Amino acid sequence: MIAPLGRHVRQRMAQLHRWTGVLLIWLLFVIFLTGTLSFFRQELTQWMQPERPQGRELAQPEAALEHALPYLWQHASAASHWTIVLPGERSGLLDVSWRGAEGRGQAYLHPDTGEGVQVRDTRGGEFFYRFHFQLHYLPVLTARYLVGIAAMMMLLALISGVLTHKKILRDFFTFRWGKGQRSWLDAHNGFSVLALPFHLMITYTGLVTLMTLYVPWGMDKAFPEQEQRQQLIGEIFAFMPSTPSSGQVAALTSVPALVEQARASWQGAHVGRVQIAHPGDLSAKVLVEAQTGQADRLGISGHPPFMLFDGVTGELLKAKASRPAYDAYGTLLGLHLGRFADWPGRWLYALLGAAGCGMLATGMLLWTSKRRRKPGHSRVGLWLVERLNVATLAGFPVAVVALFWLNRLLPVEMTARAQWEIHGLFLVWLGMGIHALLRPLQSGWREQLGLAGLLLLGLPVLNLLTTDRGFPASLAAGDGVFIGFDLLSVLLALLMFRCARRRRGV
Amino acid sequence: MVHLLVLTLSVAGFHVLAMTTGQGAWRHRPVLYRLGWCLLWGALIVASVLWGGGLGVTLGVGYLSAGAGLVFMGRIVVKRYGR
Amino acid sequence: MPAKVRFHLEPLLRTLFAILSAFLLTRWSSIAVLALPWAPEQAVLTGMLLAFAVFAATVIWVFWAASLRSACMGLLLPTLLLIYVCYGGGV
Repeated sequence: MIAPLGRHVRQRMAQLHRWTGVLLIWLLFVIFLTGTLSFFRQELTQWMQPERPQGRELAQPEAALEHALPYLWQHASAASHWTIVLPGERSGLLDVSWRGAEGRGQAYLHPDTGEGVQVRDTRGGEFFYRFHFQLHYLPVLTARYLVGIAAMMMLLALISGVLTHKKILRDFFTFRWGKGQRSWLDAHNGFSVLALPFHLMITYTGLVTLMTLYVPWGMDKAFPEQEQRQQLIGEIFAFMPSTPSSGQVAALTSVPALVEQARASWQGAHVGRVQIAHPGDLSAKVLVEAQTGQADRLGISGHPPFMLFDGVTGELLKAKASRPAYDAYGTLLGLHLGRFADWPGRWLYALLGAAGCGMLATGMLLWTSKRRRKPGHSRVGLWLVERLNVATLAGFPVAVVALFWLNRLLPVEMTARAQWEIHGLFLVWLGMGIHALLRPLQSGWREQLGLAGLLLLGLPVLNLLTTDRGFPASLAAGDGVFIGFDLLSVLLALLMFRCARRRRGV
Repeated sequence: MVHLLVLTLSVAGFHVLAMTTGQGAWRHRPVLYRLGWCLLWGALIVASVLWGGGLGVTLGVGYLSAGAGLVFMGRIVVKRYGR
Repeated sequence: MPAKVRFHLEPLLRTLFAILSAFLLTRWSSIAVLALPWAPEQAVLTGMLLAFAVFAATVIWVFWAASLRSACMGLLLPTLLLIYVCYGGGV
């Protein structure tokens, strides 16, 4: 039975906070956790493909074009579309891919030598990035709507939460370490209030990233035709126009010269991606995009500048337009993606994201610990909610760590290896769900958190045994990604053990 | 290292502010209160001057949050294990 | 309707009203921005960027108001204005 609405406005805000918060909180926790990991998307890919050379800052990433273009001419001259992702500090490899009538292909090249590098088949950090806004196994659009509804509920929960506690800012430094409800409330307030600007920003900008899906009406009204809408999108995003090939042979203009021209107009910012449509044809086009993460030259916008050239004459056809609304959109998107941030900035983002996970987890524990005290509350419902808490708050982290284990353990030559890593994650999660249903509540918490801790603690060992980039080697090479991963695993393992021990008293 | 400077200013500011809520500091309370806020504004100003505009404000606010969080957690730990 | 039933029905009614009114206001406001004297693509993007704030503010208002009736009254004026702009020839 839903309780009647309170007479006082604070009571009604508290009720709104509780219901918008609770209904999709497990989904939100999973989104927040994977979203937080996505700030290290490329670093996770580096770790999950230990065959990659260590990422390092290159003075001239554009020099790698001299390897990419001959490779593509040799292996993909019939393809209609080439994409070259230049190496950078965060990737370490030159990534060339192509598509056309004869299918698609992709290869990684060493940026210095141009030789092909074989890496294991894995989605890497890309999986977490995709998962945090379109989940997995579900139809993409359904999942995106679901995530959008969850994000809107989160926004409402944040606003109503602040309105419920007006004095919240004044008294959050007095943390009472009692048992049960009060301490969860304080922890929840702590995680929420301290990172409130971040939570509001990340939720709102998260909605903005998919706004053409969620609120399309103005756009549909002003631009009823599909081509018009694509043209608008093409003003903001680097978007290769889909013109057919002319069938007449014409020499491709010098791509490095176009790249230099683009750099000159971007205050010397480095180029991140080059796309070429119909190479060797009269209707060839070259699209040059700046690398993200150069805030000193390009600001924080999530839309990197781009230039579209005619591939035969080298004439500039289009460049990213700068208008107030476009820039506002770019800034909001950039704030969400955090790609502008250098490595300490990324850690800051991740820390605040972790505070968000903490806010959701403690909020849920607070809800159950309150209900547990109420004599008239439905026991079956509470039993199920508590089990789902275990399966999500402890079980999902276990599943995520299991993905990293599978990345090291599955044989490299296995077919559909990347898919099986991900299936593995969900199978482990399912296993955790069943475990949570079968075991008594306290044992469930203790065992799953303990398991997460053990798996995390084992990751550096596993990495040392299965690759030649273990902790001593990466320390000697000054490899920040591998050092950071090992240290963070140990730190998180200790945190998990700590939580597993504390759970007894709740 | 601008990152470290801004974080230090923010932690110091919140620490001083948190001190005003404790007992025994009542005589210096107005001074500490002002000092704390000055340090927090200082962090934001340093961030926006050294990083410039949008980036500075974004990271500055982020470090203020992180600083508050660190002080908050630090006080919990001290309260719990300090005795 | 007996007072007691109303009392327990109110949360449900408010929730439904909040979702419906927030959806409609968001929809109309994202179309009404086209009446602004800006280039259409600028107006469209501005409307989309602000749409989520409109949605959130409407829901909060519906629960902020002391009663369902006052919630309706509060939304009356913006609704009429937006309908006029959207369908009255403004766009």
